[in-house]
Amino acid sequence: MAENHITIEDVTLRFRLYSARSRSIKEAVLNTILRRRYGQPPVEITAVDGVSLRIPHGRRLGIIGDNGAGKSSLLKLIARIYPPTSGRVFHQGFLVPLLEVGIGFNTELSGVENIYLVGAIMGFSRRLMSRRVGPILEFAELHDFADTPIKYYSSGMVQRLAFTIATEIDPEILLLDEVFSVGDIHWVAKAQRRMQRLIDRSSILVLVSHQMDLIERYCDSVVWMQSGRVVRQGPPAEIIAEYRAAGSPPGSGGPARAAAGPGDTAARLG
Amino acid sequence: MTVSARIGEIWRYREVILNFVAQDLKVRYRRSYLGFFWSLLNPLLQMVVLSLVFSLIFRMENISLYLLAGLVPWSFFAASLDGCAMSIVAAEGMIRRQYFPKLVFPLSTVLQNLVTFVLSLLVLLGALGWVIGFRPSAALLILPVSFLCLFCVALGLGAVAAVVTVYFRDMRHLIGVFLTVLFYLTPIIYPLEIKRAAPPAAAAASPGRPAAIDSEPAAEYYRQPAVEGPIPHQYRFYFKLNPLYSLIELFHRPIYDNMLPTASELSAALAFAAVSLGVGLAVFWRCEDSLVFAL
Repeated sequence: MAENHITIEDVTLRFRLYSARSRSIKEAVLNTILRRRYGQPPVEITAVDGVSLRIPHGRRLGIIGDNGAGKSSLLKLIARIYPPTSGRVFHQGFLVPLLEVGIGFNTELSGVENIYLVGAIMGFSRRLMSRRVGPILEFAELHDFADTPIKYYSSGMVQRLAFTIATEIDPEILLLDEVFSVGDIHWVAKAQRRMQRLIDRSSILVLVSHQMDLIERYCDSVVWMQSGRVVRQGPPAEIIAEYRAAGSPPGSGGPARAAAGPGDTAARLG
Repeated sequence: MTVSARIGEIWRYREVILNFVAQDLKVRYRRSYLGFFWSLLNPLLQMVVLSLVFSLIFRMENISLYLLAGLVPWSFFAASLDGCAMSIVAAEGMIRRQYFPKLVFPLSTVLQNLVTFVLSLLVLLGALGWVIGFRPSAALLILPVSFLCLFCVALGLGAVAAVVTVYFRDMRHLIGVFLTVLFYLTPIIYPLEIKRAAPPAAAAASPGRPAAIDSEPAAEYYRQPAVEGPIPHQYRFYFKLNPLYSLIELFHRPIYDNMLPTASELSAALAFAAVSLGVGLAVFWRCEDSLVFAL
């Protein structure tokens, strides 16, 4: 079997941001009849622009750059959430994207039922998950609430459960966005140890972060992105120093918000 | 991706689909005392009310059974289409966090409705059937084919509805109107043709050539007009052009008439099922990659 890897060949990602208006049949029909242009035409954004990377087995890659540089979009391209507009992205190895916590929970269902549900979404069979239910509940400290619908959970409990399920099974390729946060203070140390274990066991790590200390701690290679392009690539200490020296380029406030991804409004932590 | 690769991918996601179906069913019926029986109540009440009303208008044998045989498949179709329309939009959170073959969402919606309505048909016929004149016959063996055809139509149209709703969020209202119109245009709560009462034994012996026509009851039987109904003869042809007509007849025939659907009904239904599934999936697969950008 081929070795685990991620290959990105000359990938460009363009998409349109639709304005909130003119998204209904009523508007579309009225606009046609009245021959008017309502609102602004959709804005086309180039989030990733001609990027090529090969991430081999064993690599711990950090992606840095200003807001809107295309870091999260690149992560989503690798995870196949976004299809590339041109170029090719493919990987070999079992991939788990930890981009935002809380995928696929059905709040009406109990903790245990959600463990099976999210497990299935992540690609694990019921049989495999049935052996993991106990350990998950134990680590998340939710044994007493196993059969309670999670809509009665506190937000901290939901977050603990989500984190624990997502990190229960070791992926070969781990995609990590710093937005993927760990939860309440009491629990942080424990969760960080678990995360560390997950990172250690994964064959490839791709980490997107604004926290340079995180990048320096975990990564052996860094890619610096700006306006969808890879500017520099190399050892962490060197690239981070250059990035810091460059400071904030002009105009980083404007397109940054728009290019963060369609509707990507998740509050960034840290 | 080739069609077979896409189908293979859906197959690999079967655990996800099963989980979606199971969770929907669980959530829908868990927190109500009547549970599954809620899904029986709707067709049941419709059947009772409509029977009372229409028995005053049409003289028709076992009108309750006729209504039931049409209402259950129709409800399956309508609920599937309505559910599919929202299926992708509702899964926005998941689609933006992880890769899925997007067909998973409309497919689980239709499957979940299929489970509900197959069960409700079985339970209603089992519990009430004898009272309202249901007499099981070998023709019932066609019902899996009937459900398969309706399933294909619901999935094909539902897949298109799911995509369009992503771009035009008010599509759902339009689908509601479309379903209402279609409901009244399809012979479900009225018969297109009222078949005469079953022939007496003497005449029944050879339905094709009434050799025993000289016997008194048989002669009387054949003096009655062949088929009646609320729709004038000259318009019936147009009603039969409605593809839903043949699909619903696939249920009326075995349940109400104790006979197999006619060859033309069966072939029309099969053709419509194949075309709507084929076109629906082609449209869906063409659009599915760009859906994530419009959510």
